[in-house]
Amino acid sequence: MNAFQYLGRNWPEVSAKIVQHLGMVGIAVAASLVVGLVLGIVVSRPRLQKVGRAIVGVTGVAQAIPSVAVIALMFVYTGIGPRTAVIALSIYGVVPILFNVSSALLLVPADMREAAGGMGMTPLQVLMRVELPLASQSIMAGLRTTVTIDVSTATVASVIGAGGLGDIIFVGLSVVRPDMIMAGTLLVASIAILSDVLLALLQKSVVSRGLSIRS
Amino acid sequence: MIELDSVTKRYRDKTSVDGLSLTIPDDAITILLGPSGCGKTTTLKMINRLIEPTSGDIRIDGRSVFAMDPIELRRSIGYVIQEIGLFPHYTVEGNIGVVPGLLGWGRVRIRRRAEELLELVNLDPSVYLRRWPRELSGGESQRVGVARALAADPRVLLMDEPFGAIDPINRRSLQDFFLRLQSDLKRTVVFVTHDIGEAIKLGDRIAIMRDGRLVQIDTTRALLEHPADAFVEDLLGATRSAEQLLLYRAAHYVDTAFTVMTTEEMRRSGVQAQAPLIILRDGDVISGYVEKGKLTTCEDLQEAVCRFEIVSGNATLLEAVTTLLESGRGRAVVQDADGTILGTLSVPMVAEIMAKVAR
Repeated sequence: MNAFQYLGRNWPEVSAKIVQHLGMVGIAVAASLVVGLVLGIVVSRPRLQKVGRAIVGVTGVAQAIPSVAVIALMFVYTGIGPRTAVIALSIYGVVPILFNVSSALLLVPADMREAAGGMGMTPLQVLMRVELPLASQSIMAGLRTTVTIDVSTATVASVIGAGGLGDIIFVGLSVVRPDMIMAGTLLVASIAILSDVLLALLQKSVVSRGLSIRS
Repeated sequence: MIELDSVTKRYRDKTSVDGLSLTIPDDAITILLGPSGCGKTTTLKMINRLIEPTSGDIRIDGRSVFAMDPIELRRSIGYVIQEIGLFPHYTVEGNIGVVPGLLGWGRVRIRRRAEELLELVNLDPSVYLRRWPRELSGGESQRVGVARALAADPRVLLMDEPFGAIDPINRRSLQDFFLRLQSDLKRTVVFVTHDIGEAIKLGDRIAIMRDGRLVQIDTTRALLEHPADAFVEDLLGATRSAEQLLLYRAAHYVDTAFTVMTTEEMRRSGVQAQAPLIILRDGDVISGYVEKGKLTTCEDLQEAVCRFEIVSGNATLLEAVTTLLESGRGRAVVQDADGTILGTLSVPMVAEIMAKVAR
């Protein structure tokens, strides 16, 4: 049997795994995005910029920690199941978003903030109308990294009983069924590629065209 | 009228502005001039409360700015900074529409205002409305920056070295443009610069600052004739002769012996034209000048006409000489902001003026 025959014959089970996989990734990405955005905004405020720069340094290095390690570590504290996987993915996924949000906001030129404030924008308006739009390109890049990492790492989460597409690959591994391993891999890869394409489209509509012009 | 009443700004380890009292008149350009660190930018930013003074009061038309909501205050004042600060993620229209948007204007009204302002700053709205700031040259950005500051029709404009980052030639034409604009609009402008030539060219009055204090405030001529102390004298560079050219406005030293004629009148009067210098002007277009004696027969008219440079009456003598030397032309026609011909200038004339001043 090849991978496609496997998928065809087991579609009900496979589609349930896809839903599980997407569910874990979706919740984790949403949580990482909220936490990363809020933290990134907070540490880029003028009074906290020292903290912000430290955060940029730490998160820059933290991206080198293997994602599997975070899952294994969370397993020690919260046991088996999808809950542990979601928590681990959420924590791990904060890192690229926080790194990109805080570094991009810290890079917004001071004269942009000054011009905005001097024209009578409130601090919230400066953030929403000037700082975040100027940082949007980098924020979207961070989000895309997190999504890609979460889609692939959620596969490994199968070993702590989280379900998802990893189940197909790991079962295939234990009973030596290359068609199953291949099927699982194809699905994970397709989801990763498809979600990145969708996010690229979103990025195009979110980021102002004026920012992509080289002057 | 803007009144600063013993305004002081003290930071932990230094006093940036020290008991400054200053009255800024309506409808005129007041320059804050001084070396870097003299507190001129701090003073400017205290007017729209981007910086809060430690003590003292600032009043606009009798009302203390500290009795106003700072956000509303800033929306009512035009503000232009050195790096222009156009928002790259907004189009030109979006940039001009920032303050009107904050004030809750509708889309259509903002569009109409943006078109109006672009025309005012000599940029074609059909071309520039949709442009992005990064597609603009330095000079165009500055014009849009000025248009943006004027968007909600503020009485007061605060300008912090707005032309500082522009190359000298474009800076000159931006200064000329700004003077023409001001002669139409008559705003109360507070303009910070450390460029003495710019101060003398643009300023109706110049306030000279040092170490957070006001040293002297007066018109350019009065400052030159009666400098308050050695610092002012030094600042105005009364030592080296070439730099002195920076201190005098072209308008005050022009050769006024000229007659204006249209090309047609010139043709008709021909050899009989007696004036020492005839400037040919048809409507708004000045096509050249003819020196006495050059005109022999009517056939020679085209040959006799010399090309020339136009210099703003507010320009410094240094600027006029530079323009002449760069172009290689014999004379410059000096023109007022509203187009009136004030007279002409030539390099030998300037040399003569300098010789007189040196004595």
